[in-house]
Amino acid sequence: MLWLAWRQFRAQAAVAFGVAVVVIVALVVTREHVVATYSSTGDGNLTGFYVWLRLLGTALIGVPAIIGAFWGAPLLTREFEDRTFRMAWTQSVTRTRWLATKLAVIGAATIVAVAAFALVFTWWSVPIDSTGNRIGTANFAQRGIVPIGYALFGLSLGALAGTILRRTIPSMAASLTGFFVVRILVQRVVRTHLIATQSVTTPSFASNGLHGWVVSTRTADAAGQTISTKTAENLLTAACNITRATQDVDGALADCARKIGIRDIAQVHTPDQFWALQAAELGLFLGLAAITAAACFWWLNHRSV
Amino acid sequence: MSAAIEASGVGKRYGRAWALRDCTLTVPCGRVVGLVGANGAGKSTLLNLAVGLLRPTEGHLSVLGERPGNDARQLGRVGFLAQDVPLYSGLTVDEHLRLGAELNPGWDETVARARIDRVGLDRSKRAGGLSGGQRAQLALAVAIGKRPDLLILDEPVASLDPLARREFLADLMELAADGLSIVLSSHLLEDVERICDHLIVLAAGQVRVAGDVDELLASHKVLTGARRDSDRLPADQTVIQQSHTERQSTLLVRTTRRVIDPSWTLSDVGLEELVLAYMAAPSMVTRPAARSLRSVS
Repeated sequence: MLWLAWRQFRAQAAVAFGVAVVVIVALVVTREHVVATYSSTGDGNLTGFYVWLRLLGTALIGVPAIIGAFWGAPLLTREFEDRTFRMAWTQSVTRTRWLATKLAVIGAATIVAVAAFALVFTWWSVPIDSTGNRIGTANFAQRGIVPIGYALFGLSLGALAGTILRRTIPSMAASLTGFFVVRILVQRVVRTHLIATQSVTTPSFASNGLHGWVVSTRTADAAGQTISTKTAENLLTAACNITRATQDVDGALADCARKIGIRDIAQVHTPDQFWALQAAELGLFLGLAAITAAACFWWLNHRSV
Repeated sequence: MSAAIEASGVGKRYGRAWALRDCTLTVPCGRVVGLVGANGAGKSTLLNLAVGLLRPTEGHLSVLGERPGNDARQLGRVGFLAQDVPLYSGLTVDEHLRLGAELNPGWDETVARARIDRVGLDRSKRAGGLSGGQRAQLALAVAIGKRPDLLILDEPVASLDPLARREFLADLMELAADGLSIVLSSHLLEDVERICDHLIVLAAGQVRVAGDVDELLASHKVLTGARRDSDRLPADQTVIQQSHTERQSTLLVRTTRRVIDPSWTLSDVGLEELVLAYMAAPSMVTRPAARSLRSVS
């Protein structure tokens, strides 16, 4: 069965690994320039070709969806549409073993290709991230180990869609839609709850210098009660005789806030929580992938008959 | 030895439509069984149930004494050649044999290769480029290579030209002579008549009659005589089909005893005539007949 699974997948695998190798070589070769640019100019002025290379991160977000649509969905729909499932499932191999082998082969290729891409890109981006924010929503999904979880989830979601819908194009559409709905839902609603935020207090009106992913901020008075910005301004105006219209150019507002104990309390996923949050989200998506795969096995054995 | 196929009250429903209903039959081992019926009669459904690709909505079905597709061992005992001969068009002839070898522990390379060589298939050719006859031969080689106890074929010759059809059927008869049980569906009565020794007639999702061909032919008579009502026949005679002109009645009856009424002219029935009569007969007439046949096997 392993032979058949590989035989049916090897052409797609060759394409995927070809692309992955080109991408990885490009990143390895160009990294020195990225390091040099960031150490000399500080803020990193990457131009031309390097702007395109940075977009590989955006591509990395799309890869798991593509794997779901082009590897996951056709896994079963091709058998249904060519009607070859009648040959495949009447050999001396149960459907469970057939599907398990197929998912194992494609899953292994997915892990290798996506892990290589994502980790090399993470390494390539280290100089950029040293001044940027990789735990924030813009970059988090383009770094580290979470793309592996996304890709495995995409793969089993595609396979499940194919098992249920039996036709390639609708299954691809369903798996793409389902994948992005889940990804966006996790990113916007679930992710912040995966690990606890840290509470960071800074004086109000100061440049807070917060790093990381700021989930929420509130302004508190000396007693610790939450107050509105308007109230804070009124308090400052009363205490230090500063008018509201005044820009805090000379730091007077911040000084006043510090003096009377008005401060901002932020809930932040700090940069050093990056790998913990990555691990938590990887775990979440591995769980989702396992549930989807289990549903796929169940459907194949109970409904596709 | 358990029966090749044993069904009791088997039904299969797609959505709200029953493709097969109340199917009760016993197919003995060591026969070449013809499953005949009009298109849409439920032949494919019954065969797909028998190989485990489908599961019955109701009733109980066992193939070689086990639930079809129950485990890898049971799957290995039944060879299947599906309708329209599905093959992987991107895989070569050789790769299909490799597939058979990889997926079947009981694979017999010699048998499979011998078949391929005998029909002169180019082993490096992709299945997509084979003719209908070659595809059928390749699929048969894969099905035979797993050394099944029972071979099930769904309309195997439908897409073949007359010459390829003749060769294919001759091959099947050879396999049957080696002791393989074979069940094949066809709507070509001529083929069934040539190679089958057991017959199942399906119509509108129900078994109309089933039994050994010899028994069926011996137990059916065509009665011709002066016009009369068919309900005045002895109890052991079941009318399958009747036609009346103003002065003459022609009845096809099933009976286990000799017809002694001297006013009838008796004649034997041909297999085709018999099958067509059952396909056209309303199902309620023949249900008891189908039941009583179980004792034959």
